[in-house]
Amino acid sequence: MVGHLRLCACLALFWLAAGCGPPPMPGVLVGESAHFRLFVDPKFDLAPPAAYMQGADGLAALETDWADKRTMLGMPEGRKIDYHLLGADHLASACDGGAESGCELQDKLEIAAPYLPYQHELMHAYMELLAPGALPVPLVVEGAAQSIGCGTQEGTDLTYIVPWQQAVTETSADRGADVYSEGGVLARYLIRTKGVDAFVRYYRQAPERRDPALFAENFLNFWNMSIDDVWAAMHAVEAGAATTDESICPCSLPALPTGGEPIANDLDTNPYWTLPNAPGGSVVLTAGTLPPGPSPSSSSDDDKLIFRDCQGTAPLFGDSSAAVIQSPSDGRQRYLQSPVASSAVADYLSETCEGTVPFQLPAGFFEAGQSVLQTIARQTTAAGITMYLQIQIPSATQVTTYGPADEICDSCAFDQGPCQSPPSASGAVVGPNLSPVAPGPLYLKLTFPSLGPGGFLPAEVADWITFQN
Amino acid sequence: MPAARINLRRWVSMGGTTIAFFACLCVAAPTAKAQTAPSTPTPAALPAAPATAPAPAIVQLSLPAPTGGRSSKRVRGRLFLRLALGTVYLHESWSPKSGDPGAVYGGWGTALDTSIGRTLRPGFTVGGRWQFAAVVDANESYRGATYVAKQTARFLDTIAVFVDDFPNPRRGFHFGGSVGVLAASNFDTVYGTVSTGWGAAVSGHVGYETFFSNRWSVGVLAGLAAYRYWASEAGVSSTSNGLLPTLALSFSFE
Repeated sequence: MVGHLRLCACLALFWLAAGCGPPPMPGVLVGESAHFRLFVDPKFDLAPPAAYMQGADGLAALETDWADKRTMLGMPEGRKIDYHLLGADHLASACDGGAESGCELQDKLEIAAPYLPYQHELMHAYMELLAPGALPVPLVVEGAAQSIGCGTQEGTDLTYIVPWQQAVTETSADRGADVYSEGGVLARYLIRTKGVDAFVRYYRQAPERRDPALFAENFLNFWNMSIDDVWAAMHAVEAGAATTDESICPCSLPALPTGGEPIANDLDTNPYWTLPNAPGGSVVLTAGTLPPGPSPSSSSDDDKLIFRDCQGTAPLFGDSSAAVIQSPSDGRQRYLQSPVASSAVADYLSETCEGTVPFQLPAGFFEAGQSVLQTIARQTTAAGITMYLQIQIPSATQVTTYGPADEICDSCAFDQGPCQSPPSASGAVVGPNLSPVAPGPLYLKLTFPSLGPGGFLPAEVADWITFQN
Repeated sequence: MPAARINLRRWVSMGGTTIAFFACLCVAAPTAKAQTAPSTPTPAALPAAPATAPAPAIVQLSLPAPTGGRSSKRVRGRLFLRLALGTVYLHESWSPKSGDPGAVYGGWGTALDTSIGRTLRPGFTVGGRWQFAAVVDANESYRGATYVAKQTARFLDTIAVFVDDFPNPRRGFHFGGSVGVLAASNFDTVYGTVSTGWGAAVSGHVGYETFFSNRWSVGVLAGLAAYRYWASEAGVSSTSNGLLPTLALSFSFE
């Protein structure tokens, strides 16, 4: 019996020694900054475009993320986060064998990821710094990781609703991924309505077991609101808001320079730009191209200007190669991740034709194919509005406008000569047909219709002008 | 695709294996004791029955047949060991102290009952008991809807004093009861979290056993335990009341 006991004890000790956590992650320490240590797996793809992540640029990108998120979260100094860039095999091993795209080891403050900065996993690490040892239910943990980020994901469809009890009982491995989508909506709703500090306090004390009854009671005790009411409210689409809900972006990074200086589209220091204020005026932007290298959010939209609400609730706008934008009617900040070639602030969009400041389209703007200029105006009354835009065309091209009542002309004489409506054969045409235009000034009279049934004010209204050779 | 968070799963699996390890030891202990015990009772421990008395009238079950010719009797002053392993149904109501709506948990699980005692008179035993019940993935009914949190478990541990009596020591029917302290642990293995509440439990049981060797008997044991425990978790104080009907296969050594 004693012999058996010894054998069993030895086996148990061996098992304990072998099973205490995952093995150390592979990789070589390549650099260290104020808040991070960066390790790179020998199996990590060392070839460009991933190369920029592996040294000082990678650490700079991580520090930029830290500085940006800290403006909201206020993470404490002291502990460093180990960031491991891993190859696919080692990533699966580090992340508990699952087919994960990355993970954060809470107890070790380690991140395993195939790129950087992985904002979701970084948020896990930041929450660990803010609430050491706290490990709420997956709905709260993953929701917190989804709550703050800049351009990290497509918005969550607010019309998709699962019972909160189901979301509480689910895990991150469930196929529905409700802990991410619904958890993100819940966390963002609480942050927007109660503040990020209150949310962090909630995170510290939230239940760690997936028990709907316990969750509901704790929620009521902490927030003095029932989870039923909050669940209903967070799925409500408010007037003027998007039907999707996106991550909250701190928007603490600099605004786009508008003084004509070169714009540095460095992902490590400027992963996004905030839209400059243009009180009474408008901002013009043209899309640039990224330097050789990866984009963590790489998509076919990388060369399009897409403007996102820093709060994550207003509809996106943009998706064009150039844009003329009045300041948003809701007064909130917008940001864009796209590389920007140029930006300037002036009265480009004006209520009078004579008041317009000419917008010089860059040479070659439409030489690569069809290019779209989007105009976004602020509508504050139910009546329709008319705005004027003056564009300096660098070379002959063809133009199409999309507003049914839009007009174009080579001067402000829209009601005279060849610019009279209906369009003449001289090129002053309106509508879907391509109209040839010569180099030089091109004036556009953009008519935005009156507010339709179910509309809301104030709102952004958009029009498009397409250039094609 | 968002990434999952890796945490203490290994610790949980380690804990489960550790429990199994100790359960193994618990099973091994009485076996070892049995192996070291004398194979036949000492003369001083023999009952006062005449040597020519017929063999005890033990009702046969479809379990191992009694060994013919052996002395299989319940006597006084012996060590008593019983191990019962079976199935249990959990029915537990949870009520927060605030008076807000509570929840009801239910589900099938496994019950392990280990008793050790001493026979004060033939067939009458008192001693200590460890009752363990585990229910995995219990369902939870809350405000009209029922949900199951996968990868969860509820462990109920009771340390109790028990009495067990064979009204007729020559027969297999017996009954008894116990009272003790209870620790109720609720595990969530996803993040390896556990919460424990403390309370009290009372139980009653009836059973039937038959000897299959000189000092070993086997039988069935039906029990019903009622318990109450108090817990405080995530700032929520609560009371839980539960019932645990069990049906088990029992092995006794005396």
